[in-house]
Amino acid sequence: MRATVFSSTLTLLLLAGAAAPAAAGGDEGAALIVQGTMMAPVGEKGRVADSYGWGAEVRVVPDDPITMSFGGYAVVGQPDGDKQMRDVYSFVYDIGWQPGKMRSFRPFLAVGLDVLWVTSRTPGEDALRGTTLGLHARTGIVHAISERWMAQVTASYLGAIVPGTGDDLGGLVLQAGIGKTFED
Amino acid sequence: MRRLLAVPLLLVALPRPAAADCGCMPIAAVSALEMRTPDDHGGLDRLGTGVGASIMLLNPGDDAPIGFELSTLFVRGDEGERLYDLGLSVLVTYDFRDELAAPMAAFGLDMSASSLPRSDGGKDQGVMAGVHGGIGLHGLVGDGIYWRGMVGYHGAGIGAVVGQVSLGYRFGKGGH
Repeated sequence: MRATVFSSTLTLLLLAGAAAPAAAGGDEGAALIVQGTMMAPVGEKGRVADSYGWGAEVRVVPDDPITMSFGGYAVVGQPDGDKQMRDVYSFVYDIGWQPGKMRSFRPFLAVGLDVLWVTSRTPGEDALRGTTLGLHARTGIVHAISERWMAQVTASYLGAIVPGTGDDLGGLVLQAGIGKTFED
Repeated sequence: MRRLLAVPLLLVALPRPAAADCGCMPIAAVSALEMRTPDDHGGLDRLGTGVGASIMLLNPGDDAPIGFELSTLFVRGDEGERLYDLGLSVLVTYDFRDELAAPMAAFGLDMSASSLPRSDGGKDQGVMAGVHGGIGLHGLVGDGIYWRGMVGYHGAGIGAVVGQVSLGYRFGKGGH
């Protein structure tokens, strides 16, 4: 799973980069972006395993300083000795600020709200499940590959309390993917 | 495109016929699905199969191609699991009016009633809120038959990966 997410995400990005003409028009637009996703529990690294999966989101990149996105992802905890595995399923909305008017690379900072379903699995025990709300701070770069395609790489810190266990979810979420705009 | 910024508000205010002046496609569909849950070895175990029904308002071809779906799921697991779900989705789609298939995505919130067996022989039962999402292909065959194939996740009552196929009928064909 981990290798699949890594390799296919990397392949997508390399293909996108190879196909990229220098820079693309940066008109206001939106794209559906499919992205590989990794979640690493920062505060409980030794006790909880990393989770890997996929996500998708709609990213709006207008020609003004505000950008926003909504979407979701699902990451599944990977077996790692006796560590607890966390499966996280989300619905995410964020709004952010993109400084400058660079048309090819658009860095941004965002904050957002997460609705999360979390399953905590410990080998040999019943799973603990539940819904919770979380908040995240996110930074990343949107790269216009062409008039129709864009790539995005982001890192965010997700803060939430794990339902059932009361643990700190505190996860670093890394995402990379490519998307196609809706306009012709 | 800034109309997309209104999506969270639309989620709350919901499909009041703001749709009325957008030329949306009303569609009713039935679905068959299979759910798989992560196991302790990095794989996916088959949980069970189910059926669903949904009502959609799609908006292909607009510069804010947002639609909505209200859906139900009825899932029966192989080991006694039960899941009954009501979901509300935001649908985004590429224009499929002149294509047999176009990519789409759906994200949304759920309310699920579930019953899941425990290892001690008891059951975890309850009603819980949650989330779902997925990507897939959909389109129209002719002018009236709607189809969709989608893979995604369901996190309400139980966390699972879902594969789903849907078949439906488009009403009000005068719009597009």
